[in-house]
Amino acid sequence: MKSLLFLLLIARAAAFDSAGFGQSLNGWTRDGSAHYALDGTEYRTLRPVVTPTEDGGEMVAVTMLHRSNSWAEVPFQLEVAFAADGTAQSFRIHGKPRGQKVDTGLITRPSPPSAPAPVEGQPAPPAPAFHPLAEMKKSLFDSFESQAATAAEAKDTRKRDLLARIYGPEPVDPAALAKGLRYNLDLILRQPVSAK
Amino acid sequence: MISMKTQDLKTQDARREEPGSRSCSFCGKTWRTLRLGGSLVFLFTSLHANEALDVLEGKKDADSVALPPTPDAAEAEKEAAIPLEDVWAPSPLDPIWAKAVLFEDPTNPWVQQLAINGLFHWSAAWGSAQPSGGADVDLDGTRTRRARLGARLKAFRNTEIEAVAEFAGDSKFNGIERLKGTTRFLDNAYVSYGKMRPGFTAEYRREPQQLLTPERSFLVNMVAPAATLGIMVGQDTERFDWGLGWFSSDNSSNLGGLDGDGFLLANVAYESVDKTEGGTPIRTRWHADYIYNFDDNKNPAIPRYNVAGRRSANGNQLIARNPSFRHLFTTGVEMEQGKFTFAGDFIVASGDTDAWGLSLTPSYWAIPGTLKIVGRYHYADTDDAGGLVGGMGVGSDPFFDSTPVFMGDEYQSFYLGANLHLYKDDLILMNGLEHVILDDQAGAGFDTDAWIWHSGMRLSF
Repeated sequence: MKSLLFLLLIARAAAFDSAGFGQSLNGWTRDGSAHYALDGTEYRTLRPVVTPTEDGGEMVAVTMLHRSNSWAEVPFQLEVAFAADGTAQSFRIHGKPRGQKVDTGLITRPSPPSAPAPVEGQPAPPAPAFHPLAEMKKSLFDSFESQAATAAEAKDTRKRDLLARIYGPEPVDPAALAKGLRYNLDLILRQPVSAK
Repeated sequence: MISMKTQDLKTQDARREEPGSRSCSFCGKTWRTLRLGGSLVFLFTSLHANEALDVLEGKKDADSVALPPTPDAAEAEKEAAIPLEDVWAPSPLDPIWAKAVLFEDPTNPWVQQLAINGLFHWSAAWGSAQPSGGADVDLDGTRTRRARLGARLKAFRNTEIEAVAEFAGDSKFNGIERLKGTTRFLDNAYVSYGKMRPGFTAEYRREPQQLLTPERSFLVNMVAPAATLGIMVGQDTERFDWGLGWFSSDNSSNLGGLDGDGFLLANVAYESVDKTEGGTPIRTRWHADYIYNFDDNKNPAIPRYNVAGRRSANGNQLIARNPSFRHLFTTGVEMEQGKFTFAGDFIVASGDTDAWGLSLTPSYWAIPGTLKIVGRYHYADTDDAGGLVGGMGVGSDPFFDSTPVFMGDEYQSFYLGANLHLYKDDLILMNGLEHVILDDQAGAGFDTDAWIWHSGMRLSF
């Protein structure tokens, strides 16, 4: 019986479709990344690193790079944790543009609001609308955009060689970054995270 | 930040005081004190309670109270102390350098990376050495010090293979510089095999493209073992590193064979990262390396050169026999804190020749990432007459170029230079001035002083 339960648990473990994710980004190239453009802005996404979690779910981590000028890319890491049944449990974006820490922290799935108590003699009121993914996305990008905007204005704390000093720091565009990260997140959520 | 907050508070209170001061100066004063006291209590809750009471009772002037920082201000101070990031900002030459990586895919189970690598090091020196009682020795010269081209392959997620060919120097120097494989296992253990440079002293272990000075120091060049065929096992833990290996005695510019009894190398190192009071992390690495040479004075790999039968540039003295060592030991420390780095090495070598010395090499980023100021003090000593042999200027390493060669029994060198980083650590212009004092008291007395200007360019990928 225990063995059967264990097998059932394994069978329910999530499996992220990395190949499908790459296909939706023009396919993986031999440098291990996918190249694509959104409204004329160029991006690159590295192959996701998929790690199983203790509860039978998966953590999908992708690095997205925004080509901010002809020679520089601004990288950010997007992490999405899935439960064993394939539902997204948490989001996180972090990176260090110009050496400044940007970290949204873990945005976890909110619990559904409790239904309002029915008033005696009246029909039960309808349950309020609950869109956990939309709420998580809003929290994620609100936090990201405000932090990225601060980082874009901050002083560069990295080592800069002579040419980097002459040409100046790479531009950090919070809107373009948010657009690319949002696109990646939507694609990840759209991939079938199915039983193995 | 702290003074700004205090000033803002005063300004606000001064503005609010105006109407009250017109009607009643006492009321205004009391009002100001209460306002200030209240503000202090509510805004700066960490203010010492007695001082707050003194202010409220009028015993103490509010201006004389030193306010502790608010949590925000303390946080800001902490942030201000964040050191320079040890990462490079993107540079316009990145796309060109990126072409050296022919293939890279960390998720590929077979091959994760294939890259070409190279090093071109051009070196120049101008100066002269003045032996007492002898003719001056011209040290002017330029050399292609290193011209290397190779490849690096990362495969099977645990193996890295490096192959590097050397094209500079004479036939004893050029050839296969290394053909080395490293396989990692059990998370932090490794085995290295093939032709490789033994890791001995902080300076010799460091790749030439990362050296801060134009040349390694005199004693390191004198005692360092050659790159030969060998095998090394070790472990890199978070704090401790150790390694144990055996190397062949066949000092060949090509691959070489398994000649002689070879030599044993043992390394141990301890690394720590601590936060200083200012919040800047300080990385410290202590190391100790030991070599036991089984072939004693018949090992062509220790030392790497042979100057027996040559005559010294100071006094035309005959170098009757090549130095040879059975035991070599070094210990030292490397430190890094913000813009400052320091490397200190103590070396002792004993055998037919006994020699010891130390190197102290501080460096400082005058312009972080662009201009690094480098200093080095080096001292070497021996009790044997003419026991120290080595070069100066572009021929500082007798393995590369032993013309001219100097001999003595006490050596001191003072180097001060500046490295201009055009592109990260990969395209550097180096300039510096060196003063050398070589005593020959136990020999024929040809003490030598030299002033040498070094210039160089190093390109690596």
